[in-house]
Amino acid sequence: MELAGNGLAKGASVVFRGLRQVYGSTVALEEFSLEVAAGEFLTLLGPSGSGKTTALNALAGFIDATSGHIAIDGVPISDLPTEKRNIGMVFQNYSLFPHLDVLDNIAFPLRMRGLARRPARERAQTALDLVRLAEYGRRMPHQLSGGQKQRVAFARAIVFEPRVLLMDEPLGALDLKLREAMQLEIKQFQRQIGCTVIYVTHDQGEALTLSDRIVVMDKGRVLQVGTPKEIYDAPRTRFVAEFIGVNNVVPVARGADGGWVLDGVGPVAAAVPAESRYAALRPEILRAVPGGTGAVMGTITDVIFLGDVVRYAARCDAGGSLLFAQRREPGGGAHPIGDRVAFDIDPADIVFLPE
Amino acid sequence: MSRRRSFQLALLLGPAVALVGLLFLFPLFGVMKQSLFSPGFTLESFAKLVNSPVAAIVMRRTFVLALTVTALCCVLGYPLAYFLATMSKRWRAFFLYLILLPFWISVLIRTYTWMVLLGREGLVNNALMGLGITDGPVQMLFTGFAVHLAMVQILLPIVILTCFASMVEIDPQLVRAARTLGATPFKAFARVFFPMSIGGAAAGAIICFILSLGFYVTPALLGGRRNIMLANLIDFEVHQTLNWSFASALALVLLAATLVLLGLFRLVAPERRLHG
Repeated sequence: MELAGNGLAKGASVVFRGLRQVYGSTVALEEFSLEVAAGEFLTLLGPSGSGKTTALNALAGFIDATSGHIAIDGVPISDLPTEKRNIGMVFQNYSLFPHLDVLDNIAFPLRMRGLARRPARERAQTALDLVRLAEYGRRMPHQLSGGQKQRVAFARAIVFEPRVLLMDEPLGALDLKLREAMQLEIKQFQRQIGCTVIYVTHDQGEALTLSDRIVVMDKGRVLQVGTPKEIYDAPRTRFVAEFIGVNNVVPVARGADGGWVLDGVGPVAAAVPAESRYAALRPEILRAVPGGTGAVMGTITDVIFLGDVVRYAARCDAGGSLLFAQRREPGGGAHPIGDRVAFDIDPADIVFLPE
Repeated sequence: MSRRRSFQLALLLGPAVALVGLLFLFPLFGVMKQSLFSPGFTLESFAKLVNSPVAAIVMRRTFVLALTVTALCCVLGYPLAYFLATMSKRWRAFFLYLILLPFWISVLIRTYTWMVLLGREGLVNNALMGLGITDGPVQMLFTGFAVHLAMVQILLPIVILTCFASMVEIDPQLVRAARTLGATPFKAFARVFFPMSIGGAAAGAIICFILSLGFYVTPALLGGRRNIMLANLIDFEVHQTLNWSFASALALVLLAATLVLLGLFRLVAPERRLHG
């Protein structure tokens, strides 16, 4: 067994097939089928109650799914107890053992695999070096900060080279700055050790930053699976369009003349699929021309200064409101509230949604 | 500290300090004086204590009894507490109530109840004879067995509750984490849950041991003449032989043993380590 970090350790593929989990009369997970490629960083994204943690718990063996099965590298694992599944897991509250020092915490999985204390602690030290806490081996968990605990938990979860690493909202308890820094670190660590990661979060920004692919879930069902770019640019449902990033979602309908109309915005010249019910317009696709004239006109009602970008809310003359964003020139200002703008929308950028 | 704050403190702590000082510390000094002066300073009582075979036997018997009762309470109480700490919340309230129920009945009454149960014509003997298991009544009352049984019954709730209190503090997620790291259910218990709950168990054991050392009513009523304990000996020296100086020396030994144990208790239960 070589320690991770040498590029030898490789992840395993994970297959969920028709997983279903029912608690009493509530369905926590319905028809959950998913193929995770070896070495992939996959995120289960959804609000609380979407079933993402249920899927993770089924994979870890904490619950017996009502039906369906799971396989790692083609081998069914449904009958294996948790400790035999060889899955690393990082919990939101870190779950470090408070009665063991940092090195003994990290050495724990090695000790469970029959390694003596001294070699186990030596390998734990290598894992501790990886997460850049080399000097902290003799500290007790309560002497560490949140970010440090998180890294120790990570080291403990990967020291035994699991082929799959599960992370359940691992950054949920950290403040924003630290969370962003840790996102980058997690990504780096994963590249170094090459294991498959299944990551659970309700934070869409985190999902976009980290993932190779994102699985968007709601109410126990998978809504869409795709790369961050696909999920962001081509959402297939209204829920996905609104959950990921900032979006304007407006109903579409046929106007009196038989052409398509964006409700509260104006007519649209695009080739609209017949079954469309909503249109999603990202703020950055709306080109607003101050003082211009066009088919869609509006008045700025709010200005949100974000630094590199200024986001505006505008009320269209047709009654609807739109968010649009403009990149700010270095040192430049923003349009004042009350300014009139004409919207120039490229129909090709609009995403039409059937539901 | 401001003047106002110290005044508030004095007001809040004053009554308790006065009560402890007047009714506990003052008499305690009396006991110390009693054992060391008669009327001039003398170590006569302590010399008698060291040389007296009776005192040695009774002291050894008391410590052995306390140790056995404590061990029994831990062996019985720890699994019960584990059972309570890991069960669903609704059932937990019910079982806690059952455990506390006998706790609310006076020790004296519970001891008398054991006399009724264990006597020659008691419930247990009648049942044994009725079922044909024994021909005649079995001698249970006025034996060490009766003392052990009653003391375990009386002290068990204390051990259960102290164990339980430390166990419910343990995050069940930790046991799950241990499982993902390769621990079998038994190893997860032995390496994670047990070490984290042992502080509470030790606290319960020491409280149980200290209380056992000073038990008076139960050995007096259930143990008979052959099972005299330290507290009974002190009572005997006070009431029968009127050797108050010797009784005071015995009482001080009991107090010293208790204080040493309390010191040990502080050592085995460092709070920071348990709830990081």
